[in-house]
Amino acid sequence: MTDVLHGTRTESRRAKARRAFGGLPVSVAVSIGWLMAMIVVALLADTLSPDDYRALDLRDRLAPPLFLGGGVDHALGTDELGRDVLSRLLVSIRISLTVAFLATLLSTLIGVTIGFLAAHFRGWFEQLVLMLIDLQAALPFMFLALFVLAFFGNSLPLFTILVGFYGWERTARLARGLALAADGQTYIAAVRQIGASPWRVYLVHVLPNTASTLVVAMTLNFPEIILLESGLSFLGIGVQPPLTSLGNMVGYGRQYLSSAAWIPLAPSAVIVLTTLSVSIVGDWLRDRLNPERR
Amino acid sequence: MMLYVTSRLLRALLTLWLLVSVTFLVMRITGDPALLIMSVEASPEAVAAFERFWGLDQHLWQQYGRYVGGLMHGDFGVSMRDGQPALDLVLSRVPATLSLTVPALVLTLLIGMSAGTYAALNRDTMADRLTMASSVLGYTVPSFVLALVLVLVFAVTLRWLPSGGAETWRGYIMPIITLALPSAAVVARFTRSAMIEVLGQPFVRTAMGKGVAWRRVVSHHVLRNAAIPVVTIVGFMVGSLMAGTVIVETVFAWPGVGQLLISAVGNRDFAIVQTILLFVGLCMVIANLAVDVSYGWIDPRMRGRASEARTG
Repeated sequence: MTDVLHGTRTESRRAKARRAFGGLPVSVAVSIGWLMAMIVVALLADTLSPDDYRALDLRDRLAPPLFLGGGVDHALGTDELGRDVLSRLLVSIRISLTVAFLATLLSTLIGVTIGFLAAHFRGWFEQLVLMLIDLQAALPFMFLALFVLAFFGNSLPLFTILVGFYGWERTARLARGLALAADGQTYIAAVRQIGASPWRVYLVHVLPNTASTLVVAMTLNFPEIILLESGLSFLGIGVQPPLTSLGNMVGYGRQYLSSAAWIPLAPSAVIVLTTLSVSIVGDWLRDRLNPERR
Repeated sequence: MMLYVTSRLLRALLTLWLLVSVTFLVMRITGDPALLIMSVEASPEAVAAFERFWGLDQHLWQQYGRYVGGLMHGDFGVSMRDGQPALDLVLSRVPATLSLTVPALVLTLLIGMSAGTYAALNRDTMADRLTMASSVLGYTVPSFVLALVLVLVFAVTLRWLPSGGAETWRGYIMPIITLALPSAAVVARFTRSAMIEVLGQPFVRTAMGKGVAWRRVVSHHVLRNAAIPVVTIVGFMVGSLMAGTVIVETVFAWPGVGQLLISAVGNRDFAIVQTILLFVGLCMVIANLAVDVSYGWIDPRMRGRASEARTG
């Protein structure tokens, strides 16, 4: 009896917490809040940053952040060249998120196009696509990225495009499967009977009907792209100075771990919170959109 | 079974051939390696001599033939910087990398499978939720952040472990843990869902109905069947472990393949980068092949299916 009472009480407490966030689980609501804050930062990085992220102040190097007894003018301290860590962090968030966002869009675009083409043409083209998918799946993307960067050199647009190939094979496999499944549906057969062009069939009918699954795949791809970008930038072969990104800040701040740990730790925390938030929201979306798991 | 293995083997060889061809293409369409490696001001005669030396003046098909033929004979080119054979340089670094990846793989499976099993057997309890929450954290925290936090705690603050180098056994602890934890998180999640799936199967109910002890049901019926989907991701884990070594070896100043790769990318030492890429591809193809073949061994149902395919 007490168990039952206890159960209903925790249930109602949870329900109350959900109602406060518009029916969302608390973790999802907090994650969405963090992501919205990150988007605002990415859009307004210039206005929000207290300093120019490139401005040097050699007399004020490695100043501690506010909570470690530092001054108000550098809330997160300064780095080895006296640059304001908070300003660099905000600009890094902008660059990292922009790269990750564009790359996710590109990866989805490539994957969906190839997947739909394979489903439409079948035959040798489909076999070729499946072989390429196998090849990509057999090779960790990090090595392919390093290989291409070694040959083509590095620039921000090239780097974004390169990262935009991450995960194309999973999206292509998914899109092909979805298109093949849709092909078996009567409404597609009807649209074809009326004489719709393949373009019209795939863009106006198949795409909207598969969009929810593709969006979930995007949200699951996005954190991995952030991790890839920050990993490569951490290694010094991603976003290059004087530009800055989250991984780049961690990579260059690493040497000051024992003397000025805030330089690598501030961007690390942002990376972890962001990827965690996207994963939580992505998992929640997937569970909601998949009726079997509801 | 033979047919199954043969078809898998053919597929693996096809993948390798594709990989070799793609590397060749990327190396050739990126422009003139002579101009990349030599300075812009190099005289045309010097460039021509360089091209002759590397066979760059021949027809593309001839170059491709030479390239593939060379690979078959173990000729992966020489390091453009110091003239050493690329294969020797890479192979000399392999033991250091293996000394991290093999223990890390074992640790991954130990932690991942026991955490996943524990969570599945205590489904929907606080312990399950905690395990799964730490699993999510495990694969959203990038390995370089994990490495930095470990260094900060155990090397900088507590001074228990060295922050890098392979001199003493203590130097192995942090790199191995950094490699193992993210993969263990994935394995734990996978094991949990596989276990839960198997726990709901009729044969588990039958075993329990026969009065088989719970411990024996778990070890003989549930774990053995749950292992099948878990094996599928071992191939994927080999890949993420190899990608992980690049970061871990950089952070912990480890003299392995990953460190060699990063410096080769920085120096644009193409022969080395290409050798490592092919080497990684080979490892992945072998790992995936081993996974495919081991299905038949773990899951007798697969054997039946394969022999049906042969007779049918």
